[in-house]
Amino acid sequence: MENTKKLTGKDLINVGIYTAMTLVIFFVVGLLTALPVVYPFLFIIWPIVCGIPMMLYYTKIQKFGMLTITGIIGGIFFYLIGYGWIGLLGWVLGGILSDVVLKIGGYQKFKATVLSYACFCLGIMGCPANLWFAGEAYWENIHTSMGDQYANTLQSLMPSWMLYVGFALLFVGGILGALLGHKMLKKHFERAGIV
Amino acid sequence: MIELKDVSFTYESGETQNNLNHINLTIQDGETILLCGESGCGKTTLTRLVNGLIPHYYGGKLTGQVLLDGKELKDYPLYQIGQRVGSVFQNPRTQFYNVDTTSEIVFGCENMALPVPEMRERLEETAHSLKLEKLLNRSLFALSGGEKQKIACASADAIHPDIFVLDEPSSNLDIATIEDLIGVIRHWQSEKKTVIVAEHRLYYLVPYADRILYMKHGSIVREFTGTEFQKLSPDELQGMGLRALDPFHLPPEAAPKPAAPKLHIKGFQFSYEKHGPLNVDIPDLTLPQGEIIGIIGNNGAGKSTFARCLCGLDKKAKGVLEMDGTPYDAKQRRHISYMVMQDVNHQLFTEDVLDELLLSMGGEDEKADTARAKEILNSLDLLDKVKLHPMSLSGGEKQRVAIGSAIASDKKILIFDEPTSGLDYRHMLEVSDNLNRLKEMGKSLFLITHDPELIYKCCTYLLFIQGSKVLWHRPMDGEAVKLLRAFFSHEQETGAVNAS
Amino acid sequence: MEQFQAVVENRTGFCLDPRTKLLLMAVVATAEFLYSHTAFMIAVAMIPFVLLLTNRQYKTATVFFCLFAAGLFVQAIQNSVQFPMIVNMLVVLLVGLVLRLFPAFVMGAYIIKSTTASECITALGRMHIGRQITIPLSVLFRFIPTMQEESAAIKDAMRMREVQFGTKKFWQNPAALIEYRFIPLMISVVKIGDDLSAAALTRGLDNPVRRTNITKVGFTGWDLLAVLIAGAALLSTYFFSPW
Repeated sequence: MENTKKLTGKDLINVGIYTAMTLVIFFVVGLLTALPVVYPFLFIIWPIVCGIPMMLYYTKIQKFGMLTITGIIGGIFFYLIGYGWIGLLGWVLGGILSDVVLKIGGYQKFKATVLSYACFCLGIMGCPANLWFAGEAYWENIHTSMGDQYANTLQSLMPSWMLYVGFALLFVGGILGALLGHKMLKKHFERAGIV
Repeated sequence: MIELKDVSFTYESGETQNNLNHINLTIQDGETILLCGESGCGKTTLTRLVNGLIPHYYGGKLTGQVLLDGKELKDYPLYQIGQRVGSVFQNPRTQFYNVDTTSEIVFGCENMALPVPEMRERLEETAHSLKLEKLLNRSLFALSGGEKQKIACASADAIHPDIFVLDEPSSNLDIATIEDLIGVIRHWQSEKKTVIVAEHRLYYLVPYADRILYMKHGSIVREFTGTEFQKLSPDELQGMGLRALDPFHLPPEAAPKPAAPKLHIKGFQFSYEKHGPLNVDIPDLTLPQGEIIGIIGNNGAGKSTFARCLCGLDKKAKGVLEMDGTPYDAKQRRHISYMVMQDVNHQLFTEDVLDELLLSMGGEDEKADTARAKEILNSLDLLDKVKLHPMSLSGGEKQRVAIGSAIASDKKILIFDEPTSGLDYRHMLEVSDNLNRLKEMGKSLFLITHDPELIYKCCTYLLFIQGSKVLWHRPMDGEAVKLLRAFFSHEQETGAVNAS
Repeated sequence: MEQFQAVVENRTGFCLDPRTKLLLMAVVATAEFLYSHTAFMIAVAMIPFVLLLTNRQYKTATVFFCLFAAGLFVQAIQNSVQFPMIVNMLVVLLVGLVLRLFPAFVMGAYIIKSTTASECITALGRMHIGRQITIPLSVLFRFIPTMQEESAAIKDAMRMREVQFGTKKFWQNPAALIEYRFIPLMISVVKIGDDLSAAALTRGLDNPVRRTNITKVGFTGWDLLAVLIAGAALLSTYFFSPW
């Protein structure tokens, strides 16, 4: 077993595996709650459920860069299926931020892991923010072309505080997800001998 | 030339099995070596020393020297060892990296940065010599296990290594595709390559091996030439814990019951595509209850589809099963039948063995359920594992937990899909004992397998499926054995024709 | 879930280099924020629409066409009809969603369906994107179908155990269902991953030289044509609107 600071092929395969796991679970959760009513709750459900694969992933992370790559891959994925620049940017920033937090906080340290994952979850905002920004641009456009009633309707729909609430929900969800993931780690993965 | 000088290895996980003690071995260029021995004897570990996965991938304590042409392997990175030593592993589903066959075959070449024209040449050459032109440019996910394993061999072959290391390559293959594998190994022999194979199934390799090494507890305890090995009697082989040399011509050991109550299958029809051809078409079939019914037939004949219909997994399957006067349609069959899957990992859900059984019970009276669960676990020799996580158990133990959950939910029909793939003699016997125990409990068992030894050991009835239909079915008598042997030799011939 | 599974031997007729597809995606994703005139919107939407047709994804193309046309229609009559407040909110939101975001989504549907995994990886390699990205991405492509297979097997196993939505056991502990569904899946994926890493490393995955690719990707006349037409349509409608 060789130890280097650079990411080895094995590390990169791990990045791929856990990114695939997280994205698929992210997607499945998104599909399960296809009803528009559930949409606001997704901000909290996503980080909680994805906490399970991500906490397993964190047990494999010893080096800087893996989470950034996960963010980039997630970003590329959502960019490719049409979430635009903001989708890409959100995931990449989330990845970098969580990597930095983990680097400062220390690898395999529980508190750093929780905080880092919560930061990672902030990046999820990239997906809905795409919608939000589209709404914003649309609203300006509507203002000039279609009169104030519609503009105000939209404005009431997309108040900017929703963005902050979204971030807060994701962050809290991230912490809860990390705790749930940690519980599952103890309950299943450690006892099954795969950690 | 490969030399192992006083090599010992202990895995860092601290397991007591699979380690090696003071191995001394010299393998000349062009030799074909067969490594055999019970599971845990260290034969897989030995292959990992030769392809460099130890110490570069699997950590542990390694002493002694592993030399390839006089140079120590541990001083070279894996990607350089990989250019000299090609590897094929046990599970065809897990060892591919790409999603299409062509990329998979040239994967090693791409990593070596071969220029594209040379890579194309190698691709053609490999596809031609391993007879897999038909498989090029296909999705790997659409291939059968045997085809995937062939692609794995091709991927090793395209690198042009001098040495091939195969770790239980036939574990998941049927009789016909094993003949294909023989073809591949014969081809490498004709090119004077060194071939090292660790295997449980010996019959197909012994005729072509130069030396056969028998390992036990991490040491090479006996060494044979091919002819010496073939002189071993069946009793000697069993004493060594090895599989039969001629598994196709064993005496049947289980007798059918004289007059058993019957199962009636009426109008089983199912097709995967909406208006496509029927994948199962059984208008009327009467089978005995309480027997072990071996389902045989070639690949793609409809054995698994029949099994899925039988346990009601395909909702759209037409037809009923009548048992003790009660008809069961597809949905109702799910209450009375259970399939133990080939990959038993898929059917264990909970955090400990006891919970796993409780999950299958009514849940009205927890105390009574727990007592009953413990009783079942006791009958399956699992009582000391009650508090362990199912996934931490060995393959055989996991299988027994799955069986236990089926008993707990009072299933009457149990279907086993390849329960002995990749098992050595002792573990095969264990499975056979479990099946017999279930038979004694009065369960009706169905067994899909390409393991002739297991069929002779425990089947009391045979059901032959071909082209989605039942061609014949009868108790395991002299006539059935004759038909069974004809089927085996037909399988071998088809495989051999494909390979040559 | 859609997946990069297409395997194509020799591409004939209209096909684009994956890099061109990425460029067009970038154009569509950016243009969505620059909507001004209806003509420009239509020009943006035409890009994925035509590409879908070239790839014979007629169903997706038809659905997109109808939704987009409906969106344009509703937007046109919006000022002359008074909807109740709630309906109005919904309509504005849905129209915004369809007109603003759908072109990129269907462009994504086109890219995923028309590109094989090896083409994608080869193209990224040509763009000098390093193995730090290409290796995880190839593993991702390989594992998405694997997870589907595993997940189907686990679903079957759950049905045989009668552990499923709606049963009595389900209502006793609904969250357990998620656990039963995801935990075995993850354990199995981790095990497959270990085998896969070993197999890939013996075939030289860690070799530091810049790897070559057997898959052919390259620009052809079609790429030039597609970019020119798309560019001309967007620029002309952006600056000189007929309406």
